[in-house]
Amino acid sequence: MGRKLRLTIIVGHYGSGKTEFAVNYAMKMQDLYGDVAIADLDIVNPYFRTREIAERLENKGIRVISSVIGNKDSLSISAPALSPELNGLFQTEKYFGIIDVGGNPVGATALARFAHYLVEQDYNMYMVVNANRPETQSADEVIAFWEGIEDKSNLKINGIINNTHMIRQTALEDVRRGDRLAKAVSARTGIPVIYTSYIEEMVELGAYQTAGEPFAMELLMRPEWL
Amino acid sequence: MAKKLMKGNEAIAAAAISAGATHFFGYPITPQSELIEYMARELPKAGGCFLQAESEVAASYMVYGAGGAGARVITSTSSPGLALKQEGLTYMISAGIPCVVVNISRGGPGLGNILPAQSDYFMCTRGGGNGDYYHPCFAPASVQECVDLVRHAFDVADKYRMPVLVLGDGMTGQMMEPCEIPPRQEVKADKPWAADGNHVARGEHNRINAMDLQADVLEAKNEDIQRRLKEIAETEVMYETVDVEDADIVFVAYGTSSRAVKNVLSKAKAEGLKMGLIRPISLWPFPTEAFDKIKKDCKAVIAVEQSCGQMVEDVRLAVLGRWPVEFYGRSGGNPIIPDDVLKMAKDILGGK
Repeated sequence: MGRKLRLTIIVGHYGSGKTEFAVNYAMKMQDLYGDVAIADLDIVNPYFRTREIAERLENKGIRVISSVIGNKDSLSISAPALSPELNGLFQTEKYFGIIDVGGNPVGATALARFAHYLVEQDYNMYMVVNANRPETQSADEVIAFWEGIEDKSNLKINGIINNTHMIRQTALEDVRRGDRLAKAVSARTGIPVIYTSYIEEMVELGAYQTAGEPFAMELLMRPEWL
Repeated sequence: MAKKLMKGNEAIAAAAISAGATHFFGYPITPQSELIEYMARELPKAGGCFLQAESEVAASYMVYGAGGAGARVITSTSSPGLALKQEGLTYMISAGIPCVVVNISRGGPGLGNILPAQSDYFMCTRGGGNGDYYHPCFAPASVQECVDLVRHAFDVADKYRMPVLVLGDGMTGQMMEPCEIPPRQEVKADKPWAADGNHVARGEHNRINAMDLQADVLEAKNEDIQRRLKEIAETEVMYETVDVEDADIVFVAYGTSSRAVKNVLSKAKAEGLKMGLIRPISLWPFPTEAFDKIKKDCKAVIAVEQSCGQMVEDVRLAVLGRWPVEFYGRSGGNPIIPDDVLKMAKDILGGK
């Protein structure tokens, strides 16, 4: 399961599925190693946020850090009030931290405030890519967002996650399309593809060799009726 | 056309551009701001005009001006923003201005909160401004339907010369789904009434006006508005029904609530229970005719809304005492719980 480092930062184009990957990754890391904390640093999206499933994550022993107002009370307002608890996550070594950052360069701006803590330690910063989103269909487009995110956050991306899906209509062909894109981005940037994530319920990988490790996910963020 | 994964808000904006919209005026508000963001980025690329107004009231009069000059124009907002636009909307009804107004609604009353809600039904169907009118209002339940209904709304607006609403809740705007956007069409709608300087002889005027001081002139205008509304009521009804004919319980739900109810239907079916759904797609005109499909000994018609009970009044008018009408609702942005809806239906079947 990748390189286990103390901090893993998840960035990407908005709507790429960063949060879905981040919460699935948190669950997996909690099973493997324990002591996981997940931080919701999204100042862009109002819905489909880590805080919405805080209770489920906490029941698994995962610490959830989001707004200064609390996970539940912050659901109903649009106030990017980050919690001071975040400092603890960056400064102490108690937790294996996963940081779910808001979409696009504008979302990554929130990360810059913590960049000075990060340059002094070993961290992973993974770029989530979904080839089915209209604005990230080509390597050029992905790299434009990539550069914008690095520029705004003052941090460097060191891994690619192919998270290409169509929600409940995902097929193997979507995963393949994403693989081609992730490999093209990897060839251009020299940064490896770490995982190809896929929704286990919908996609049968069979003998298909994904770029990076296959990472099986379940839809945690989407209500069953939606 | 390949399917792409889009948020409802983005898809609505893309659909408006594909429908040939040339002008957008609006003011950002959660949970529909992605719509404005998309328009700001993409409409100028299509040769159109995006302008962020200083307020919702100002935006509604920019729509009035552009629509009055014959442009295909759209504005979008969320609940309290639509409340602010009401003055412009009743003026546009009076002046006969076609436009599309999108409301991605949130919790109310007042500033409320940013969570999804369906408590703007009255404001969107009746019209929240002064005077005698209703708003044609369409309610999508999926991202693809957002695309289809926004395109349709432009045609209805042009045909009947009035504002047409598209009402989704916050979930409609924020959820991501596969959809297809048709290529952009250039619209050459015939608008001989438009104040664009092209349609009348020198010395004559096309007047776009919301004030009529003479009683007979104002009454004649009202009669014309009512004639157009009557034609809409007769021809623009849209709805979906699921298993209604055989159902012992019939739910009525629109937008994302209808998706929670479809989940209830599949659970009921698994238990051998006969339940059906009427999903109004046009909220006004309300699909009264769909209720004629319900069997005589149906036990109850249940309105399911993310509100304290608004559409249920139209349900009662459509039922006209033929079956008991019940209501399930949540408010404050809380979600409908399919299991609670199922329990309520089972209690009614069990005679509780």
